[in-house]
This record gives sequence, structure tokens and C-alpha cells, in this order.
Amino acid sequence: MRLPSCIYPVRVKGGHHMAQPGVNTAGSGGLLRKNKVQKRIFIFIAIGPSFLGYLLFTLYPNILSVYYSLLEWNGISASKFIGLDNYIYMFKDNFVWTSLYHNLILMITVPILTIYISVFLAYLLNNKGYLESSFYKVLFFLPNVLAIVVVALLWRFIYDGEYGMLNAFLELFGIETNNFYWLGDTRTALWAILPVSIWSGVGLYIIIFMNAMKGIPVSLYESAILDGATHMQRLFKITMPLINPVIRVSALFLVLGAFKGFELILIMTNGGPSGSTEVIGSYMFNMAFGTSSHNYGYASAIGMFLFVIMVVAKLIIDKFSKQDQIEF
Amino acid sequence: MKKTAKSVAGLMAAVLPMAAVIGCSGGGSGSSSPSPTKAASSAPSSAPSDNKSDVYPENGLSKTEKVTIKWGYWENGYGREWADNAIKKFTEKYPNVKFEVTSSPVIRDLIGTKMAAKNDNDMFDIISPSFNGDAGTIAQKEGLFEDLSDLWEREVPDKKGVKLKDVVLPNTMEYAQKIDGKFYQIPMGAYALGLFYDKTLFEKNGWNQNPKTWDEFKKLITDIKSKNLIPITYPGVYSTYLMYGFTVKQFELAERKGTLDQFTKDYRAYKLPAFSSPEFKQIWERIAELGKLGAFPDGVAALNHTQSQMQLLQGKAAMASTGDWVENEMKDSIPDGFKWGFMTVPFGGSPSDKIWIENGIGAGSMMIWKNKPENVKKWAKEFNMFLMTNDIQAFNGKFGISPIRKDFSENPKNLEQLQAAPRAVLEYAKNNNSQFGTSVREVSFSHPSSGKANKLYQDSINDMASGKKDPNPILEELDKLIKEASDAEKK
Repeated sequence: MRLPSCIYPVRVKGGHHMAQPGVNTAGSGGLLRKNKVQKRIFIFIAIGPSFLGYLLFTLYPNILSVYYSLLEWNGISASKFIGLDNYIYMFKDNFVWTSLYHNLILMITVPILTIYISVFLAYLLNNKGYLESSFYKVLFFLPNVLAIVVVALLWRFIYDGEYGMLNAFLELFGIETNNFYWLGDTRTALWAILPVSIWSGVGLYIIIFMNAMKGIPVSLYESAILDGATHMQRLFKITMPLINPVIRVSALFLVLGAFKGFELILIMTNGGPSGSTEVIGSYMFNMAFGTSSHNYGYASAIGMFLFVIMVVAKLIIDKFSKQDQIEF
Repeated sequence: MKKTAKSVAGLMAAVLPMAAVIGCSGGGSGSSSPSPTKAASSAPSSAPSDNKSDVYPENGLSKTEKVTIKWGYWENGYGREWADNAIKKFTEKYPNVKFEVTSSPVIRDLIGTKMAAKNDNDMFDIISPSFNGDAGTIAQKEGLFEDLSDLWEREVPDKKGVKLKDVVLPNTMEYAQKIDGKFYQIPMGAYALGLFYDKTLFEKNGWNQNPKTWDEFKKLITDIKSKNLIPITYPGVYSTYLMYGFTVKQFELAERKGTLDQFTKDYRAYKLPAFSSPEFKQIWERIAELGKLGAFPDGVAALNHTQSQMQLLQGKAAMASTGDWVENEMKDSIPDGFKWGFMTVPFGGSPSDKIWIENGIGAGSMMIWKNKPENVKKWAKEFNMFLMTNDIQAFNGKFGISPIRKDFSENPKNLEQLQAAPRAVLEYAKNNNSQFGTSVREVSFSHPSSGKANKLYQDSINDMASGKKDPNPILEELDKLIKEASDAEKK
């Protein structure tokens, strides 16, 4: 196989030398062609493995899921093509709509609170110049480093009725809890999931927003201070508009996460009590791999529905969020 | 931009065919299971000899042929030591056989994936019967596992002339799971389900440790409640644990009515009414009665296994609805002075009424994948029979596995090794007019309505038990969903 000509030695006075990049060894047209080939080889080597992984482990299974959603299949017996029956059943399944309702509650509360808290804390850490700000950064980011199982078990203990920290904390203020199990009551279980989701997500967004804020020229703040702007005015009139693209993308990730995520719920409550914390992801998971159900076809149909919901959510966010990018 | 797009298109054109080939290929051995050795998956490495000295006299299998058995082992509450001991003893006796064990608490996920792949070389030779949902029943109906019915007629290795079917506990064969009349697993050990308690606590409070009638049991509940303790705890996150003491009572009620045989046939075949049968409705009436007496803990829906079992060990709950593996599972947390006791819920009105105890296979029974070389299957069956010997059963008892042999207690030394929790089950069975039975079904449905029914049932157990919901409409709804599933499968 002939190697690219750029690495063949060329005769120069005084001995052989390897051809140097950019040296015209075969005319300018030939050099440009060689550069194109090198560029394509480089692209292929650089992104090929990841792209192959994406195709094999993401795109291919997702395309296959579309096909599975048209089947009645338990993973072992022969599958049976049933067309759109799974989708028809799904739209009549009250568990699907109840789960989506829970997702909606999480979608409305978790992104807003996470962004609000993250922006606020990021602004403080960026602008207040605390000496111990590095310590705070580590402290806020720590939950992101923990495995989701650890986070879930930690908060299970916090919410425990007899030994939980939350009850102990409330009793310090004289509030009688009667060993209340926060995850054991349909009125409180879903709301108890919120602090866990927010706590485990805030750290990452603080770092993201802090980096975005660092890109804002200090001169803007100095001018604002000279004009008598307060912290709140600087935050809402300068910082937020200038990091709006970053906030928009963060909101998109959080909204999609609110629909997709279910690991926390699976470990903390398994969808209970009485299905009050069941979300679409956990319902789909239990339909496919649960202890009492094994229906890949139906679970795939739910997965496809979830995909459509997430695409629609993304389009709505794009449509209704400010697209303006303010330049400075 | 155009050039970059062309580059990307070229890349896709190059990579897509590769992806299709790799994705559509049969695939090699699983990442977490050892590659099949030549001995296990193809012709034996040395041909069996016709020379009689080259075969074992007790089973006629070759001494020279090297065999490796791949075991997908479920690491559950009983741990792994008993299996390692069984392998060690078996391979000492038969040095040409070795095992490759892949063990995990969630081996069912790996088993399920391998079953779906249907790659015989990649699949384990033998597995612990651990499956997601009804995958096991489906696989057995599909004929993916070896029929082990012939093992009942084999002599047990440690008692010449005695067949396995004659040496197991009464009614084991009758009530062990069969699919279409065939056995695909033989019970190596029994597990028992019911109510476990601390004898020390009961003795201290003077509570009845062996209520023989329903009224005596209700009195026990009120006595415990009067001391501000939880009478019965269970992990509400996995609410079906509550039913460990109750599901088999359907058979008890049917027997009292004189309809046991027909009930058993209909139950196993999942004939309707199932959830709204008179027997099951009566069970739920009784559970609701207990709920009104305050038998179950507040916030039970938030409790997982560890929390509920810790309530028992810490003396906050008097009884826990669980299985006899609980002692081995919680062995690092058992306080000094804790003495294991067992009871099940008596449904009768008279002390002489028979009490049914739920037991089942799962403590180490194994299933053999059908499409494996004959020599591997033969040795797997030998191993299965080996697990039935009293020496192995006695060792297993140290880890909470109840023996399946009725002659086990003939040697008092065997009983000494048995853990206290399963020993308590045997004591209870001896001290009462009792019967072991299993509540497994032989039919399953794949239709989403069946999944929905199971979900509705699990979601409703805690509320039905505590009296927040009336069981009857829910039980009727469950049968409607099962009927939908059953009708859809008939189409």
C-alpha cells in the first residue's frame, strides 16, 4: 500500500530529508489533495470510535425499539406483530397518564428551583469574593460526584420516620412529627423527591453558571455600580441576560431530565406509596424488566411516546424562550 | 461547510455498514460470563473409554472425560458458601468435573438477556431459578430447559435403593412447580414464608407463640399492640412481602371446603376468578380485620427490607413477614439473646384444624439449559442429585436453607447445624397439624393488562391492609384485567 507521499523522503542537497508538511513536493494541487486526505483520515480516526459507539449503543437500539413497539414480545417466546395495538392500549392506560402527571409536577418544579438556586449561588460565589469560595464550590458539587444509589439511600435515611434527620431537625423546633415517614404517605412522597433532585443537580449548574458569569466583562459591573445599581439589579439586568443562552440550555437539560430520569424514584420508593411517585420512566422500566411484567413491546411503545414528548418539550422551550443573544 | 458535510457523510458511509454487521451478528460470549470452555460446549476433549475402570460405577459416567459446568448462580440471602462447599465436595469426588461460577444478586438480568439471545454456547449450563417476573415460566413453556422429571425416580446417592420421590418431605412432588406436567427444577432445599419473631421478646411478655386458631391470633395482635409495639412489619416498598403469610391460606380454606384438588388445578392454571375468588376475598377480609386492629406499622409504604427486618431485630416490631433466609441475611445485625421463632397465620376455628405453611423451591434448586452437550447435562443432573445428600443438606442448613429430606432429622447432628430460623419452621411444622404448600402458578400472560394487574395489586396492598381502601372492588378490577390478558392471548 502506497503511503501518503508527504512522508516519503525527498532528496535535498546534503542528504535525504523527510518531506515537511506544506512543502510542495508535487505541485500545489497535489499538496491540497494530500491535505484533504490527511484531514479526512484524521477526522475518521478522531471521531470514528465514538461515532461507532453511538451507532451501536444508542441509534441502533433506538431504531430497533421502534420495531419492538409494534410487537407483542416477552423476550423469550416468538414475537407477534400487532401493529399499533400497543399504542392504542397505552393511550387508554390510566397508569401512563398518572405517571405523566407526576412527571409534569417534577418538570415544573425541579428545573425552575434548580436554576434559581444555582444562578443565585453562582452569582454570590462569583461576585462576593468569599475567601472560602473554593470550599463552597467543592461542597456544592459533592452531590454530583456521588452515585445516584448513594444519594437515594442517604435521603431515605433522612426521611426515615424513627431515625431520620428531618424529623429530628423538626423536633428541635418543637414540631411533633410522631415518627412520620415522609416517603410512606401519598401526600408527601412525591414532594419529598423534589429536594433530592434539586440537591443532586444544583452543584453542576453552579459550576456551569459561574463559568458563564466569568465571561462577562467586569467593566459592565463597574459601570453599573457607578450608576448606583444594586446587586439584584446587576443580577437581573446584566448577569441573567448575558448568560441567557446558558440558562436556556440548562433548562432544556433539566426539563428533559425530569421526563427521562427515574433511578432516584426506583431506589427511594419504587413508584410507591400506591403509585404516588410513579413516573413514566419507572413505569416503562417495570413493564419491561419488572418483577411481575415482561413485555418489551409495550415498554418500547411507552419509550417511543416518551421520545415524542421530549421532542415536543424541546420545541416548546425553543419557541418560548428568549433566543436573543446580547453581545457586549 | 460543504467539505465538512462531505467528510461526515463519508464517515457515516464507512461506519454504518460496520455497525450493521457488528450489531446484527450473533455475538460472542457475554461480558460477565466466562467464555465457554471447549469441554463444555463441544465434543469432549478425550473420547469416553469403553474400559469399565474408566467409568464411575455409581453413574456410569466417564472418569477421564473432562467436563466444565458453567453455573449462573443467584447470590441471595442464603449467600454463596453453601454452593462453594457443594462444588468443592462434588469435584473432590469427581475430579474430572469442574465449575465456572458467575454469581450475582441480580443474575436474573444476565439470565434474562442470555435467554433472549438464545445463543446456546453463551448461555450458562445450569442456573439458579432467578428470573424477572414470569420469564422463568415462559422459558419453561418454550422448552428451553431440560426436563428433570426423571430425577424423582433416581436413587439418592447416600441411600441405596431409596428413590428421591420417596425421601422428600410429604407433598413436595405434588406441590412443586410443574409446567405442562413436567419438572424443570427439583427442590434442593425448601424455603418457608411466614411470620418470624423473637422468642425472647415473646417469653418476656408472655405472648402466645403458637396461636392455633384465628381468634387466638387476633388476641395475640391486640396483646402486642397494647404494649405499643408493631405486631407485624413488612417492607411496604415491596408490598407483596405481606402476602408471605397469607397467599397459601387459599389452599387451607379450599381444603376445609373439600375442594382442594379442583382449587389447586384452577389456581395453577390461573383460571378465573383468581383475585376475586371466594378464598382470596376471605384472605383479604382477614387482613383488613388485622389492619383495623393496628397490626401493621404506620408509614409501612416507606419501609424497605432492611428497615422492616431491623424493626424486628431492634424489638420495635414483634413479627416480620418474610422468609427463613432472614437469619442468614441479617446475621451481622442480630443482637445477643435474640432467639428465632416462626409461626404462620392460622385461619381455622379449631386447634386441630390443619395449618398451611408456604414453602417453595428457590434455595438452590437448579435448572439445566436444554441445548447443551449430553455429557454436560448428565453431570449437571449428577450434581443436582448430589445436592440431595444429607451431608450437603446439613451444611446448607448452616446458611438457612431448610432441608427437603424427611429423613434429615434422623441424625440429630444434622439438625444441630441447621440455622435457628429454618429450624423454627421445622419445629412449628412438627408441633402443629401442618401442611407445606406453594402458591406458584404454571401459567403467565405477556399482555400489558397482566402487567397492569400486577402493578395495581402491588400498589393497593398497603392501602387495603391498612383499611384505607376496600379490597373487593380492587380484586374485581384485577380479575377484569387478567381476563383481558387471557382473552388477548387466546386470539
